[in-house]
Amino acid sequence: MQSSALVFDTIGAWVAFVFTLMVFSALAGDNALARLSQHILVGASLGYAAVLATRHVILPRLVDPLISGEAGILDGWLPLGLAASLILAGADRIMLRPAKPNAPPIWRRLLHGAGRLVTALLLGIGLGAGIMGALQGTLIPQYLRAAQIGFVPSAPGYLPLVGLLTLVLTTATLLHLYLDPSRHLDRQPGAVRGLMASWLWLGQRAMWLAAGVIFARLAASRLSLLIARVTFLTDMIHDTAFWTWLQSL
Amino acid sequence: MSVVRCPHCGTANRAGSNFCNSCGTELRAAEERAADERAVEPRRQEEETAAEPGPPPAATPETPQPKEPSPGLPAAPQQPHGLADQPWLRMEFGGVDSAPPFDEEDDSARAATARLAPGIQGLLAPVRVTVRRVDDDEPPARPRSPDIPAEQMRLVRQRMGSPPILGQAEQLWSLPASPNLRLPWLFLALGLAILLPALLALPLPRGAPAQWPGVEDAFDVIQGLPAQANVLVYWAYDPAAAGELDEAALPVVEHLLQRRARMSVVSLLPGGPATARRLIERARLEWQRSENLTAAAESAWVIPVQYLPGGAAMLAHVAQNPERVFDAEQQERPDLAVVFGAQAEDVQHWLEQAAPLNRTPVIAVTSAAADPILRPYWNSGQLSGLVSGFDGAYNYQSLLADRLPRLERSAALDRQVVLQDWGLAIFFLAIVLGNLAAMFSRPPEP
Repeated sequence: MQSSALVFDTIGAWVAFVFTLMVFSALAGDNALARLSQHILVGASLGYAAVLATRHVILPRLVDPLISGEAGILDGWLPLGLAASLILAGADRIMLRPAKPNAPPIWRRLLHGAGRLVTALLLGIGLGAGIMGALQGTLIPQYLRAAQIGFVPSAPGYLPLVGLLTLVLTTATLLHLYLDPSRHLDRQPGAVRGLMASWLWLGQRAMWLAAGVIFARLAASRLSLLIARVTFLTDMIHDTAFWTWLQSL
Repeated sequence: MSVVRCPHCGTANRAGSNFCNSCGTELRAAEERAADERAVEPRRQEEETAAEPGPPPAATPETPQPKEPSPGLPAAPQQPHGLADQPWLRMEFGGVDSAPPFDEEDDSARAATARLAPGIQGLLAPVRVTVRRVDDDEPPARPRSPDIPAEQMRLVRQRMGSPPILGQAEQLWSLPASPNLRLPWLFLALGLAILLPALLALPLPRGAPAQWPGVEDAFDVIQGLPAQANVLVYWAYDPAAAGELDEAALPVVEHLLQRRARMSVVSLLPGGPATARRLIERARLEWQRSENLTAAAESAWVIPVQYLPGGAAMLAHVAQNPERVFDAEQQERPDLAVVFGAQAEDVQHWLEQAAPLNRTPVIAVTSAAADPILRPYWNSGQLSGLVSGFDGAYNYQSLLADRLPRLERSAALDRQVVLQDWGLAIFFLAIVLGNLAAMFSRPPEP
């Protein structure tokens, strides 16, 4: 049993080795091997997701409770009805083209209406949860933190400076994004124009700096991914008899 | 087919067009208008007859017959009813509507079509949406614009696309020359800089990774957990990001195992549970090897790993009803939540959907790219610790090795640091050489 698992591990590693090379071959230009590997990746991923959803969600959380009678209306039959109406409405729209689009039969209109209702439910719940989450998890805590940063009595001396810098850079960036000097500043007095121009200049540099920081960390992240794949390849090569022979020379 | 050919350039236009789409010639001259009405009237009668029950009318000599497809094209399939009065949607339609005609010889037009309709993530052949010119005989010669150099055309487009500057014509900027990045050479240099040191197992150069704040806090929070602490883990990465995230997650999972924390793992990604099981097993083997534990002693300890579809909205359910998620009789309130996320949004989703509900301290283990976006959450105290990228993993591993001497320092992380330095050196070299080339290259001609 253990030896068969080892064999499968070895086969899997070599398949991964070949597919890694196939994907890397896209660097030399679009070719059949790279496209084949991408098709296999997408197909295998979708198939795996379908099996996983069936075995870990649909069967144990919906079908089995319904068969055993443990599921109630709200946590069993209602989800089943909503899912079925969405699937049937989608299948009808995809596979059965109506002969007369202006006057579909009543059952078809009801089916499409039920599908729209489920879609509206999904979208509404997702958007509602997203907006509430953004408010309670990001907007309000971050605003409170920014507002309090300079007014904490026990804070170290540099913190008010940080707060001031945050305020200046945030407003400068917003001004840079929303203010057009040629339109909004032309008729302003010279002093105001100079001050605003400096502020806009600062906002532009702040954006460049932020973009640079994000890009630098992004490059480091992608470099780590590349290193992981390359080390996988080199580890496979190191395990071969050919490499052992090369080292013995 | 109800099309009207332009008397000037020969382009087929939709019936009823006032002007030619190609050259602008007026098409509604008196005699043409009469002919057009003669052609349209039978079709209208046919549609009215088709709306009533009864046998379909026979084609009259005046009825415009569908044009035969050219030999190179397949016969037109039966079109849905809704396309009867929209002939320009059919493949055999020979006119141009508003898009330029598709030219088989023009690769750039084909590439633009592929970009417009790229299929599924660019993997499948695109659906052809542009109309195809069907010519009965030799296509009429189209008026050609004079040959304009590409650089001048780019300048014209740039200026036409910019808002007009009135009274300040002298401020028109000059376009910088487009950089020639020579990407294949950059890829080759980067690949060799990683491949050769990895193949030859070079130990140098080996700089010290940056020490970002948040790593030590994460370590202290886990170190301060009581024995048998209940830890809820949100696993938000799959094999696509495992190359980077595995190295960052491994020391944290090892530490949790060492603290005898009881982990419950939930993932919203199909590939998440398998990735979690694989890494936890790897960490368990490392830990058992370092502490000389037998596998039998720990075999009864099963870490539940659950997959939940439904997106970020499910996280609120995880926070409120963990016993239903993990099918447990009773699930105690977690002492800590750990998010292993490839993107900043994964951590943000947990902080927005779950953390306000269960008020549990949160530690984030993320990719390096997510660090700048998550840093404000650590500053505001919403995150109790932040470990990001290979440098965060390296520092966490160093803390583990310093304070828990029985755990060995990971050799894989040491190799990662060396290779990362090689890659960064290539980046640095490319930036320096690119700037020098830009400084000393000949300025573009006005």
